[in-house]
Amino acid sequence: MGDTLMSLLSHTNPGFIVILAGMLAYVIRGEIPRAVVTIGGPLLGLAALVLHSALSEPLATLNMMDMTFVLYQVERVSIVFGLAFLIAATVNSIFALHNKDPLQDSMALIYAGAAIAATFAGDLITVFVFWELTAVSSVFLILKSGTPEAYKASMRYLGIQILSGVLLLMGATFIMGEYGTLEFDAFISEGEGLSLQDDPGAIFLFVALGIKAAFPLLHNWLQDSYSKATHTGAVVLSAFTTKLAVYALWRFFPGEDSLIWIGAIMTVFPVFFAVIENDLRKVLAYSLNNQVGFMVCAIGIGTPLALNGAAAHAFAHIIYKGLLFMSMGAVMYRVGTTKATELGGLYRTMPFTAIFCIIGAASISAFPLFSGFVAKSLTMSAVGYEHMTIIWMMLLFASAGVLEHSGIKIPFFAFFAHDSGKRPKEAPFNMLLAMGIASFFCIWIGFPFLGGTEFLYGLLPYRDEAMVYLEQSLWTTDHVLTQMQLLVFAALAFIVLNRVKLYPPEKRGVVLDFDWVYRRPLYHALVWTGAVWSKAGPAMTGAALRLSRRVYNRIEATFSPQGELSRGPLSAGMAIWTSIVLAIVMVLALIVGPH
Amino acid sequence: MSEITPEEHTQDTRPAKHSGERYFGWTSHPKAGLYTFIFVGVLAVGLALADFFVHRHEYIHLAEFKIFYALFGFAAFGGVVLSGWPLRKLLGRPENYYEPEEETDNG
Repeated sequence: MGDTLMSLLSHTNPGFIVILAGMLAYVIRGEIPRAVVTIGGPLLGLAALVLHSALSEPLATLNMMDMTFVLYQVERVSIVFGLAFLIAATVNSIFALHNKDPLQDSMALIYAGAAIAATFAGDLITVFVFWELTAVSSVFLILKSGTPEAYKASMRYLGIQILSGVLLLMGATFIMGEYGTLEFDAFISEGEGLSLQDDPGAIFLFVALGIKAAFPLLHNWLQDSYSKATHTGAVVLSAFTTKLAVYALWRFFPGEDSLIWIGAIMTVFPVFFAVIENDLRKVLAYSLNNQVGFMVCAIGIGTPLALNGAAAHAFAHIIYKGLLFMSMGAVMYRVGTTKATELGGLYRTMPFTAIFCIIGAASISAFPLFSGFVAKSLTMSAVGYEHMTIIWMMLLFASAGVLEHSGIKIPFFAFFAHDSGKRPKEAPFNMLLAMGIASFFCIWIGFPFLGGTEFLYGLLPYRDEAMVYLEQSLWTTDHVLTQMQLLVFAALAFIVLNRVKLYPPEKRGVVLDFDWVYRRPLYHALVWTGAVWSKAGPAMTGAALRLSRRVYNRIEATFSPQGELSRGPLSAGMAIWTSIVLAIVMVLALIVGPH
Repeated sequence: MSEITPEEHTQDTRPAKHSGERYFGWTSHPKAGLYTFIFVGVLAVGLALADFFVHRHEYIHLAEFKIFYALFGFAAFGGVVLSGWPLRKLLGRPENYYEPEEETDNG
């Protein structure tokens, strides 16, 4: 019995277990049983991952319609992403324990499970199915806010996510045509992906992943939706969609040159929007863009060190970004807003949330002793080793920018700065516990001698290169010194600018971004078109109907049995001659045609 | 002149102490900003001086000169923050900028 269970677990995609837990969470109404399912599901998924029986070979397949669907295949890189997803799903379930909302609990787990299942899928159709499931399930986490703005944002979100899925399917169709199969093993291998040169399938796939990864100009769904999600929903959303895209880019496009520039631009542009954004959850969404940019850039570089960097960064980022969203979720839950203009001084009554937020902020800023330093250093070094000066400068600039928006702005304006006079209660125990667990990971991974860094580096796809980097480069005096110089002098700039009152004060309002194009001019163009059509449409259709009726009447008057052509000897003669000519053509075709 | 009741005598008229003040109360001290500036300033100077005693192995030629990272961090952060002034004028709009038109369409 025990052996059977072990065998079953070792061949089950952990995502399926989490999805099943999500389905159960909807029907189980008792609070304690539901808590057991929502936390136990991801933990059981973790057990399944630990027990996986083999690497790089199909562990579960399904044969259907003359095709083989690889439902479960474990690669080294999928372990990194899958493990981070499972930890995030567990922590998120703890964070949401106070919710008493079966639908949100259920959709959060189904969403997480779909992302995990896609991470361990071995063919494109299986990925497509779970890709779409992430879109459909996650939209409820925005909808459940219940505001008209959230409804509209959720519809925009769903539209663009489904579009990504459709493009993925189109890409899969082309790849099927070219390779005759959709199994990954047939067209990619670890570190070797598709080429965008003359391959429409790869191009469709690239755009589909670009939407989910929030490439520049395709990024606005992220700020639009995450800031309007529920206080627990934003935490869940922050972990999966973009990182699933990063995982897919890692698998399909390692070493794709265009990703270097796309990623570098992604790291830089959100910094400017984040500095003037008032809603701190939107600031975190811009910060997410910036962080994913580092990963995308590393994938584009494509060396073993860079690919390790992308995977390590994703692992650390899923946890510290979740922690930051949790701290803002706790503020949202207690105060009802995350607008900087309405916050400040919350440390008085929410000190533990403040401490956890600072740990998340230190991690994302890559302070030595925190997880971000351990993860981001790989990418920075990889860029340096390739002597890409401009890209390296862009990433260094973005690193200082991260300190501005996530390292300082988020904790400072929420918990310190001017006293808003608000004295909310500390976050509920379950929220503090979840933030405590995430904080533990941030420190454990980043602090030397605790074993966390070795654990993370040991998981990475190119383990030997990671271990050499750990021994020779990570904790060297010059590396720690230069990182500290960058961050401390950036912090000094903040203090100086604040003291001379040159730091722009937080101000209520929205910040225009590229979504302005489709929310304003395009929207107005569509409204105008609709208005014009409502007036001109009936007139135009009336005229078309009248014209077609006259044409039909004319044709009927000419060609019908009672028509002009049927009357008199001409008609009979024409019929006879037509038959004769047709007969001659047929006879000739028989004589001269191929035998 | 009203009499002071015994309750008022025993009542603490100072603002209530909150648990968080035990950890972060110092941040509300009037001189906290100055002390932080001095602390971070001294730390920064120390780190900058350390650059002259530590051999750095750089792969990017530009980063080889002394206190490059310190100057870059200060300038990048300062540049980003100062860009906020013109950017807010250019891109900032009232909070209900998007909503009125969209709401009329959806009833």
